Amino acid sequence: MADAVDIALADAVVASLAGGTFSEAISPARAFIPKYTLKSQTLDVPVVPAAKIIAGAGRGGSQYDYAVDVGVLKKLGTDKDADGKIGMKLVEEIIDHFLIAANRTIASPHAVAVSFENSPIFDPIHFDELSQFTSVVRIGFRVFRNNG
Amino acid sequence: MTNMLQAGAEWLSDVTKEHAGNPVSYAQGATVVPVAAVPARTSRTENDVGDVIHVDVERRDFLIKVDDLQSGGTPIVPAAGDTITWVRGASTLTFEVLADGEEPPARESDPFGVWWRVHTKLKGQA
Repeated sequence: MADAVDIALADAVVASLAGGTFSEAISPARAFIPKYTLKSQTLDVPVVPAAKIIAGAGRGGSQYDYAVDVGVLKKLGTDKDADGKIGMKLVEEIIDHFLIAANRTIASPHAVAVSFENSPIFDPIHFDELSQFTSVVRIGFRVFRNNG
Repeated sequence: MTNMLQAGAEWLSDVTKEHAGNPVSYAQGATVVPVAAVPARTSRTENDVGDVIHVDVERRDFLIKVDDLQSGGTPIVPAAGDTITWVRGASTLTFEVLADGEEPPARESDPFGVWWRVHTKLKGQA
């Protein structure tokens, strides 16, 4: 049984990120509910199927807009400003990764990245009270499917 | 004339430290001092970002006598980023001093400035 498109898409995002080149070594992983503790946290990149909106697209098909959330969590060291900048740079690189034409289109399931939202750019409460950089990039993928 | 309440608070702090204090290492930058700390309030919460990321946080306050927290006679004022290392049984627990909601990383915990109440989060366990 094939996975739901939501899952297949999130897995494809993980594979794409894992094959990318970034300023920090990352090990992206798909999760339904990514949970972390401050004890174990260093640099994590969870990928979460987040939402989808379905709209009609002509007689026989539908347009599916899937949202996949990519988190960036980085433990801050003594130089929080420097580590914060590293986190911000990684987020920017992740967005840039999917803006490259070769990565923008996912082969299976056939989808195209059409939107990016980075909110929060970083979570100020995590930064101040947990000494952790936390950011979430929501990538919107568009898929056209026949209604069958 | 000695403030009776202050004298009582100082006496009580000594008794508390003697019977409920634990030896810990307090580090601020390169300065590390041994000190007795009384574990105080604990809480465990999840700090979520949207509905996406869930971070389990163990908060713990420590009470440390103001007079004890010094290095070579120079008082140490607790600040964010300081660490408290507590060897508890077979575990070594590392706590980072951090702000807690609207609370600063540390504040006086009594009317007479006998204790620091230091807010921390558990950041490491070995």
